[in-house]
Amino acid sequence: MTSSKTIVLRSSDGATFEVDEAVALHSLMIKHRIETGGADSTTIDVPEVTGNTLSKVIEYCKKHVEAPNSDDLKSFDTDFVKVDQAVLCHLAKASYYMNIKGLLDLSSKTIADMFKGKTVEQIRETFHIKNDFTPEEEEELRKENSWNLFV
Amino acid sequence: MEPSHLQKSMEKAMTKIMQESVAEERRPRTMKVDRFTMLPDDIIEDILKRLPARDLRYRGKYVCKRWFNTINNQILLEHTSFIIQRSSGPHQARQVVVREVNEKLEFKQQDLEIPCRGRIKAWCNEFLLIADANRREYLYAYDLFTEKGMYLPNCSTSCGGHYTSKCGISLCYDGARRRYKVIHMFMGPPIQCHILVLAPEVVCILSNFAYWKKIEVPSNMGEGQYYWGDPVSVKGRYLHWDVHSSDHLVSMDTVKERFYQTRLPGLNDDRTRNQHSFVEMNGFLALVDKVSGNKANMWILKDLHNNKWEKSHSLNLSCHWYFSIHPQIDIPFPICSVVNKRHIIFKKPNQPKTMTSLLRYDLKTNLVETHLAERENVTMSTGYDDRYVVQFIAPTFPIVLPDRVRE
Repeated sequence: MTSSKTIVLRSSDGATFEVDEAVALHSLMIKHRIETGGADSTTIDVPEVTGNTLSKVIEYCKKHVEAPNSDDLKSFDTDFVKVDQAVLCHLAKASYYMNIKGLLDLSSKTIADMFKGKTVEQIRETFHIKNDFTPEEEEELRKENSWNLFV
Repeated sequence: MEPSHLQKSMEKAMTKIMQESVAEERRPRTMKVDRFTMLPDDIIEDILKRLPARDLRYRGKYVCKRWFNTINNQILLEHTSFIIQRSSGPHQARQVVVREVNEKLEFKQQDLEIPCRGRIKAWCNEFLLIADANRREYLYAYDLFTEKGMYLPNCSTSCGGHYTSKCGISLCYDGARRRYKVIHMFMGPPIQCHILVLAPEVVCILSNFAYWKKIEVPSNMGEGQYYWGDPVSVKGRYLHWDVHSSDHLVSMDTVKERFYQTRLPGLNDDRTRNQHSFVEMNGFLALVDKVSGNKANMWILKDLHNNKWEKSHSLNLSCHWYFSIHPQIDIPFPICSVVNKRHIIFKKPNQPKTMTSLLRYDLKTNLVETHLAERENVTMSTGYDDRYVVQFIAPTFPIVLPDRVRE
């Protein structure tokens, strides 16, 4: 007798993860796929997400589905996003595509916090964002922003 | 069974996606890769919306073109800001940013530390114009972006002190010529108007970066001595002074330096002082005119030049929403409209110290909310003698940036 149904999630690089259906349904995208899938909906492809990221996402869903009222949920979330920027961005992207609101909010907020109070240069450095303004455009922006009086 | 063409090309595409994403994750961490380029616009917007309006307006906008477009064209359009300042004592001030989120208003407050102790008279773009509390002919300009300020040259004619309401003083921006102007109006008859032009390019030509000039006000403007207070600014260009006349306002186009005696709409007979007030709404001047105990009409000045008003709403200002000793006379005083022009924030008239002062009026539903909360269960604390200074954004001529090119 099977106690609960399991779903297999397959990442872009072919890694497979077997998870409880309840955990998989935490992703509204997967929920939709299952509901409209038909007979063979036990294996779901997630081509936008690699194995490394998918395993982290599953870890998040597991915790939030299996113990949603636990006292340590907050500290779990805080520790969960103590990862390097690349992983953080991958998590944000994955949670967006897989439609997991809680994780998207968590990653977005963490990324936003990395920018608060920083200068323009510091913001660029944080995520290695390229300054794509031409020198002429930068000059226009500088003029728009404040007078030369307050230097 | 041989795989069909469709299957083959699908497999090819899958392999490509797989290879790309694996390569992306395996790239050595030391390589300086812009992680943001892989995030879709929706996520960028979601992240940027969480930053305080100030960080976006003065920093985030200048990071790269993609951020500039997202911030300017979406996020900043949703904000309204005003300052709440104690009118006496230490003149503490705090900045409030209001945003509409899911049909409700969200408030964020931040204390301001300003080197000059005085009354904030105007807020245009990132500059505050402050009347010094100790030396009352002195004006101080403070840049919220750089957090630096300086005293401006004194106006040669004395009006009795900018700190009080003997003169009407404000700050405007001329986007085409990229210069700020301080407009100083007082007395009558005749009305005196002095303008301080702050023009950076003049630094080289004259030794003075800023100069006051007196401009002529048409002699048919106004028959008596006016009450001047702080004007309402529209688009950082048009100023409107409520001179406490029952039938007109004094208006000015600060770019053209032209004056108007703006006649008020509707019947004049029952209109007395303190029963009408003005607020900027969505790029126009709005008049809130109390017509009976509970009702007020709202009019919009659609055309300043031709003095054309349009009646826009009928407000139900029942005094159940605020404590009033003189319900026939008192009227909530509008402070600002939230940018989407659906809500107006009013200050309740003369509340006792124990009660909150602000209320929100939803023009679509005619519903009123009397407890404006910063977060859940935390009501915004306001004092009965607080002053409110609304930020006026004068549009600058934007750089035309191309939409983000999709790879």
